[in-house]
Amino acid sequence: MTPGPERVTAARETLALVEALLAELRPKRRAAFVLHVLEGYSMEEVAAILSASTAAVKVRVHDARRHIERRLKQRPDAASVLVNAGGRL
Amino acid sequence: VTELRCADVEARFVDAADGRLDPADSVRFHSHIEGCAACRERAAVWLALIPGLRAAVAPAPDAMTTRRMQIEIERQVARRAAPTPARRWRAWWIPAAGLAAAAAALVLWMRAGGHAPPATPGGYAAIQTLRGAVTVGDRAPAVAARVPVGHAIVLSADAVAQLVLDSGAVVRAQGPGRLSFEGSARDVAIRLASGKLEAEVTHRGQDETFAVVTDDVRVAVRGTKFSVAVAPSGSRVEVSEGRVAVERAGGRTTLVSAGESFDSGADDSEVAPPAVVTPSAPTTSCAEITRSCQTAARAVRASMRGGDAERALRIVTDARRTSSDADGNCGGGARACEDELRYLRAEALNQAGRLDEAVAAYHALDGKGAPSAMRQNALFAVAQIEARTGRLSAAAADFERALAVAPRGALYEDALVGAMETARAAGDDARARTFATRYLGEFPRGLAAAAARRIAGDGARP
Repeated sequence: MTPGPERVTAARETLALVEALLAELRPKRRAAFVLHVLEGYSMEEVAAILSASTAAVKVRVHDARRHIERRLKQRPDAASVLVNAGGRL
Repeated sequence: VTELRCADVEARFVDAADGRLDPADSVRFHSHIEGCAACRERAAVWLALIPGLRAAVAPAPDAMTTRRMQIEIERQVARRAAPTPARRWRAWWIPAAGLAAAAAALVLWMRAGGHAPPATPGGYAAIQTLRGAVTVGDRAPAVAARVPVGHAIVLSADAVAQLVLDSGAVVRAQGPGRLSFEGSARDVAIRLASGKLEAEVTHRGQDETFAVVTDDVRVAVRGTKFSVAVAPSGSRVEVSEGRVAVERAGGRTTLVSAGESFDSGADDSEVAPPAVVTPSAPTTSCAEITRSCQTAARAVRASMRGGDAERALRIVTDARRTSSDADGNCGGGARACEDELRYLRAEALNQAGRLDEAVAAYHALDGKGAPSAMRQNALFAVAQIEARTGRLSAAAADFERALAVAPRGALYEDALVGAMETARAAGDDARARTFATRYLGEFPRGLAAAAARRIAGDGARP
């Protein structure tokens, strides 16, 4: 079934929001965050993929998470959009 | 037990969201956040955010894309691994170092989603679908998350949670209500404190039990479909299929069969005869069926990425039972998802090493009007199995059929090479030459061109 235009628009806006958040991250942090949080790789797997130590990956994910938390605190509307997007699963 | 530091807890948010914490880790994780307000707040934020972030980005590839990526990886590895064109193609489909590397690469890729929960830690049930406000152990769960034994599942009004047990049984809880899973995977006991649940229980072993326990009754079942609702006046049991035994606190047991109901609050607590039922509109809309099917397909893919093919098969079985309600009454979206589930089932059987069943499932796809691209994928996959297991004539027939069903399909070139190589391996040189000539005509610079030239007896031509 084709989603209605409102849902398509909402999905696009949510995607744009996520992309904007990710774009603000430094490349190494972004890679670690995407692999671990979005793709679900374990920290060890991410470390193997990125040829980095597990400790380094943990730091990168931690820093990325802090950055996103700060941005979402500045934009509570964006946080609620993302939480609602999860509810549409 | 070593306590976790805040940084350790934070590093486990994703595993917690995916239900991948092992029991010991789960205890340490939750005991930390219960005593640490900052981590508790941060965990609540991220456990809510992670599903949203994932939902916003591109979904995982579907089963057919997975198959094509697998073939492409194998092709790339074969291209790099073999020094000569003639040996290059063999390395692609005969077990060899190249294929082993491809398999390793594929396993790594298939683990990419990593959302699949482990087979056993964290209880014996997993959340399949969610609607409305639901908490498990005071936390918002994610789809596919495991439900730990003893954790309270609380549903607000109008909330619905569908859970699938490791045995394949399905439990659908409707809010407002509260329940928890007790016992074990072999001796399932669901404590229903309030609300209503429907259960569909199949394939219980002789020594396995399944029971729903309320304050005043214990409903013991073996292979049936039923519901239990708890109200202030008592518990009500309705049976759709099979039969259940309702045991009351005083030890009295009443059997309730399909179409019958039982009210513990009634004066005599006797079984009511089946009500006269008039046909009514389906209670599940096509949109819900489609959404449920798509959720199941995601869960199946996640299970396969995690290497748990048997779990994937259980989810498929359950989802197809649910979607059979649609029976062609819903539109193309539901049908496409149903096709996807049938294809996923065949892939899961293949992954589980149940090759004969996989062959049958792939062949069934060819016979049931699935889209031509999917039929080509299925036929190609089944031909690979047959070639691997020495059934060369069957493999040749299926490679040729894969060519015929989708002449412009993505696997056309691969199927043509498969047909050529299989015919040659079967000793049918004339047929092998025919396919080799055809290959050279259509893919003169293709990966298998050198092998085709050799088979066609035209090796001197550049």
